[in-house]
Amino acid sequence: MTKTTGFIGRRDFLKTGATFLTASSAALAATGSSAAPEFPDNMLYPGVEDEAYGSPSPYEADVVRKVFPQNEKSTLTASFTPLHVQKGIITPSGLHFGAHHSGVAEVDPETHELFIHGMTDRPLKFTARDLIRYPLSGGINFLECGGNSAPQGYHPEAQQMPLQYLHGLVSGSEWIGVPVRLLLQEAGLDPRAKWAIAEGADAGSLARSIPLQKLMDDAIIALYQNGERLRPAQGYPMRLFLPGWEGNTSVKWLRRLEVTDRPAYTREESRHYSETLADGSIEGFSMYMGVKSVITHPSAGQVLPDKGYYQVNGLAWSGFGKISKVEVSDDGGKNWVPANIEGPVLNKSLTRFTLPWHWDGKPVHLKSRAIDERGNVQPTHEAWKSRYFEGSRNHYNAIQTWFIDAQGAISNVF
Amino acid sequence: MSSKKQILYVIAIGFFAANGVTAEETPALGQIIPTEELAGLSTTVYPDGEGLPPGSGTVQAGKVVYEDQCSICHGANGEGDMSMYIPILASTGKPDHGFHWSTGHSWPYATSLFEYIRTAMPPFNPKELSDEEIYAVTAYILHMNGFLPEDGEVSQSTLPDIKMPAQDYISSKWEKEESQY
Repeated sequence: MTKTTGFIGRRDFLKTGATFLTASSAALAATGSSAAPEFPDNMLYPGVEDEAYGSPSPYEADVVRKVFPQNEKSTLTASFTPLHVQKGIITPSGLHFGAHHSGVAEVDPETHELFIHGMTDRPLKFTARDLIRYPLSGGINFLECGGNSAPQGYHPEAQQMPLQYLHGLVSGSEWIGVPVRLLLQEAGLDPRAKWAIAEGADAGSLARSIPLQKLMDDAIIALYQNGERLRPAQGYPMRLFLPGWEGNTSVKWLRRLEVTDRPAYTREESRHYSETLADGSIEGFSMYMGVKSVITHPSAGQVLPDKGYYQVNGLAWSGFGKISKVEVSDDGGKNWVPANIEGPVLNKSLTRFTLPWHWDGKPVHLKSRAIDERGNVQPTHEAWKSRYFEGSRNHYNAIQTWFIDAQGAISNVF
Repeated sequence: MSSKKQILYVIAIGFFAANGVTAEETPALGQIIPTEELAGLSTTVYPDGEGLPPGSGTVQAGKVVYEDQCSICHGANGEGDMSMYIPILASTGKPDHGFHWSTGHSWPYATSLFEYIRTAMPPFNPKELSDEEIYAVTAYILHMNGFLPEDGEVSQSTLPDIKMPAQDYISSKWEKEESQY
């Protein structure tokens, strides 16, 4: 705890706690008088029966995704997770981000089949009903679109957009399914095989070339998300799920795995999901999602109503493994204070961090920096920009800076 | 991948290939795909031409297909409209901006054009073009980029021979990262 920051140390906290106790004792004494509130209706009349499938409170109706719509010429659509009203490492399935190149496919689980063929001893096909009988495994993992935070990489000036549009193409879920390894073993791999082409059953047959190493490691054919079968927008009845890798490679509505010895250079990996480096060359197959963090509370789109106590809240993640450390600065990056990592700390998962903070009402630059177990450090905006050509926008994982002005308004700055 | 992991991986592949047994017990419910279903199942096309169907198409025929099916979105000269997420198909070279690449100067292999048009274009009515139409419109897109003359054509055997400039300036980040971790 340095004197120059507003972050609250243990001693300060005890002092604050003492004040709080004094105040609440006074409140308790006040309830002894006759001014007790009347019972509200919900304490006088029994409620309605529960629903078969529960819904959020109608008072939470604005907790929704922002949907970037299709237009009359393009079927590409994206839906952004409302990170600014989310706490925790699990995104409710209905709020999970989506990025769909040909809309949300409606697939009949009774007729859909997964074909595994190519350089195998036997070409095999499976139904979802078959796959559910296999040993299932998986875990709590983040999924992030390769284009998440693209406005930060793309625009020369920081755009005044809320957190949801800036960084809302990342979500966290428990994904459960069949290890791809088991199905490839059943089909029998040709020793020369090195890749598989994963293709979806959407109108555009979205396809990616996936290295066999990943498929034999922690890849699953996901069947369940957050305890229930996948939602249609997440690939029902089955999707490929590749923990830590660029979202586009976790092919939804998975229909084929064509085992081969080389990549196909599909459309997605030819240009759409590749980056332009500073020297003007193109970098493709950018599979891993780099170490990243963002402060979600406070963040752009929110307002601090008054000076005083706030709990800084945020999320950190890395496609390379576990988060080992998150640091927060409220002086533009001169001093960094370690944040509290709120468990569980899981492999390739959203990880929650918090830090008690006192805002003195003066303008501040608030930022967070994540470090993963491999020693990868989240880069500054300037360092990130120096690696890429102007306008290259995917795989932006730089430190996010929020500027809080004297009125408590929060804006996005570089 | 570490060298230790790599060795284990190679052993595992060799083991399963040789013995046809699995280390972990499963219900083994995979059904053999019948031969008649296998034929035509794959729409994947590889840079060396594997997966291309027999056929060919001329630039001239492709101009007709393009103007009928593609130009309403991609523009008369393949200029696209990135504000509407309509990719730029053709340009005279590399762009001076990291997002405004043309297909012609960012896709390393012409075979990918055939595959993508066959499976995904036009987006509201995909998988309707004939193989001859796809060859033709592929030829026309290559022509717009200056890779084929006005009287040119492509076929199953010649499409893989088209040298796309991006072959000289595309790299794989995965290969770099795998060697690092």
